[in-house]
Amino acid sequence: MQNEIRRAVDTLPGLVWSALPDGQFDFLNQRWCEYTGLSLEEARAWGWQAAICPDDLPGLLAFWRQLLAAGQPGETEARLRRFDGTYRWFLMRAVPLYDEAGILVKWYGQSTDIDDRKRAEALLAGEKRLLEMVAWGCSLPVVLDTLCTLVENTASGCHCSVLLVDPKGAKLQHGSAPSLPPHFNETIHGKPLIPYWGPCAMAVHRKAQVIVSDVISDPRWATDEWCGLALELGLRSCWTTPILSLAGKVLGTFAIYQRVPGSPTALQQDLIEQFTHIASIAIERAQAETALRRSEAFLAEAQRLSSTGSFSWRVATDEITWSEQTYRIYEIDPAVTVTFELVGTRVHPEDVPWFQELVDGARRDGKDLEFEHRLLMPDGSVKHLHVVAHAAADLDDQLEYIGAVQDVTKYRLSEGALNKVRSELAHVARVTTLGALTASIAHEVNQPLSGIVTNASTSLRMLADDPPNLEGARETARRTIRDANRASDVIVRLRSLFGKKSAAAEAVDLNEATRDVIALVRNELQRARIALRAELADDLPLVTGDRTQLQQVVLNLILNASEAMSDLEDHPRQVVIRTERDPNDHVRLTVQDTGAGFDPLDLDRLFEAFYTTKSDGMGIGLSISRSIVESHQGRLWAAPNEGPGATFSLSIPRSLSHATLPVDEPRMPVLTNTAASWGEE
Amino acid sequence: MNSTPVVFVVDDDVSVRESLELLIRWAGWKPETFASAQAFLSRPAVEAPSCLVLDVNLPDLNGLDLQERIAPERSDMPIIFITGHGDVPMTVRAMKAGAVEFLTKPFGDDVLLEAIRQAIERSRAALDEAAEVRELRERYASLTRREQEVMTRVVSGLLNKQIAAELGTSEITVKAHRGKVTRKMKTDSLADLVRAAARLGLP
Repeated sequence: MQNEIRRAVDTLPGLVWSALPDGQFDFLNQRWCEYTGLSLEEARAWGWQAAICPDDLPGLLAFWRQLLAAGQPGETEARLRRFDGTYRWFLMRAVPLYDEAGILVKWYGQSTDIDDRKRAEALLAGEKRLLEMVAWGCSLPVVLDTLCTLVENTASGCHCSVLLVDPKGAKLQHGSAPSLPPHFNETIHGKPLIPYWGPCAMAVHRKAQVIVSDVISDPRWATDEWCGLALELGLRSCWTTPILSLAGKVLGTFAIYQRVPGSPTALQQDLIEQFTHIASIAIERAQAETALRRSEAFLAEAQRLSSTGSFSWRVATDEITWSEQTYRIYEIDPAVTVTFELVGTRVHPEDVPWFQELVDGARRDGKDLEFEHRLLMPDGSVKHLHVVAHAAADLDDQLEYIGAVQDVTKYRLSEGALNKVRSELAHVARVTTLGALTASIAHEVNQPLSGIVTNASTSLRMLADDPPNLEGARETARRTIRDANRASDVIVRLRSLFGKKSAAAEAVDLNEATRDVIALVRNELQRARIALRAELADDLPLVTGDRTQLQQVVLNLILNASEAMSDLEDHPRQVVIRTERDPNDHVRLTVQDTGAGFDPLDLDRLFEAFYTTKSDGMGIGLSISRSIVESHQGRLWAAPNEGPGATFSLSIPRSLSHATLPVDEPRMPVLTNTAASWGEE
Repeated sequence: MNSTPVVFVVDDDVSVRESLELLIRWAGWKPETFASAQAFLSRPAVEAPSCLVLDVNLPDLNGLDLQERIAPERSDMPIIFITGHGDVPMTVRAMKAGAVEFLTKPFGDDVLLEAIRQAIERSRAALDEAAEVRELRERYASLTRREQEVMTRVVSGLLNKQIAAELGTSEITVKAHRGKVTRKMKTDSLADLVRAAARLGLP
């Protein structure tokens, strides 16, 4: 019976043993002995220790003693030496046997080969570590070095190298080769792919694995520089595999060198496949990181150059994020978290209510925004910001605004300066017109003056009569006052038209403004024997703008019309001024003459600066007029008539809201009560 | 003639019109004001010494053109020009065409009054002259043909004897006619008769 059991135990596919309570081994089965190469005699008692890997022995002994003392079953791992000297990992289990009296009488144990599993575990752990490194963003060289080292540890006796392909896909670049000398790496780095410099280049180009089982005898590399290099280092075989990106592009190669000739076993191929895959992940990740960093740097630079910053606003939580440039624009430390309160400290006090309204509206409606507002900086300077924001749903389907803020201060300032220059130029143009109108103006003023002088004289005569004509003198004096007021009106009108004022915005009745201009220019026209007809629409809407500037335009058009008819003899000289309401709610004014007209081809030139047909003209009247009309969001154009002459038209949108700043030119204070109530002509 | 002289004022400016109206009335003349040349032209002529105070710049007809229009018929209505601004060519043209005065506003009222006075004098003289010529014409028309023939020869310096020979009558007949002529023409002397004939424009 014992023999049967013995045979069974010897046949069992495990390494079986038994030991005495003191720990000495009294039996080891045949398999154990065959595996380790130790005989039963050699292994008995404590001899079995010779088969344990010296590194693991101390730990194993300590464990065994513990177990003996505890008297409980247990297991541990250690490496066992095979008959050929190779160490393999074994799981060693031991179980105590107690008799009926509870006394430990024997230990029984079994050791199982777990080497494959152990290696696999080690490999897996290594892979996991590598992937963690990639995920945490470790630098590529470090990852690749770790990878090579891991492979070298797993499959002893080999040297690994990872080569990268340069971005243009034309050269080899050193990736990692921790166990190869620097001189080897330096030589390879920068070598062209074609013609093939070594099997790695061939692997890249062919996108296929290249096996050089024996460097010496492989005809492909016999005369290659690479061959000499490899032999110098004692490398006899090279197995190189291309590393492919997810999209199938070659990123580099993973090569295993050995000092003996040979081809990879199935196991080794598996290893190669696994690690090539990891290398691919690592390299792609690194490339993506680099691309991302470059793109971020571009973006930051672009934002800086264009003074545009970006922001996002998660409406539900009021979470706001700013780009670096936005912080710069607002002049706030980038380390500070942005809140609406913080934004509010920078928004210009005058714009705050309106800004608040916009924000509330955005919260409610979730519509795209575009607007401008001002910031007031701590040092008192003002910045103009142009804001655009797009409403989108974020990942949780919540409303989020993504937007950009641009500092347009210098544009607004230059606009302001431009407006100022335009006003100045308009003033200059007006003053030159003033010169042209001098005769007219003198005449205009001389009329009431004449009346004044005559009336005053008559008044004196009446007083000198015998008896003095008091009633007559009173009457004449009253008339004097009235005439003086008339003269004052002319002066006021002149001052308003020719005085230097910066552009204002008010509600303007174009009819009234036109009438004033007509009054001023009436004598000029009479002198030139031009008949003027005014057809001003009754229900003309108001426009918002600068009264003086608009009057200047009308004046310019009328004077041009007059000029155009100055040599006319064969048909009547006539100017018709019309105002009317345009179909699309604009106010239109036209000045039509019967003069020389113009060639339609010259239409564009007419409005050019310094284009003039007058011998003494400056040629800026029409270009300034057009500039003024356009700054009122209107148009100024001209067309030849069907009959003789041309018609100049301007069209300005009507006021949509009430005027903001009414500017009234005060009457020159000449007189009071009685004169004013005395009625006009 | 004893009618009050009339002063016409044509100016499109109300201040000027009204102030002149007051002044002219104070001076004892009769003012009539018009705002345009057309308005003035539609007014029929008056039978009194008159003059015209005219603005050069009128809405419809230029003052100088108006002057051209009325000058031939109205030498009894001299023109005084007033203007808000004047240049030399304008002035020269006006004066050459027979204006009494050319004033720029604002003008001194005494200057104007003086000009009006002169104008009215001229007008009066012209009217008187016209009336006298009319009278002479009537007288001449009352002569018989023979008497007219005699008168023509008398004023050309012929002796009675010579006239008789020319007309084929006697000296006495001639003398008789001559007497009739003197009486009808109401002349005092030969010299008078000669002057009358000249004024009538006789050959």
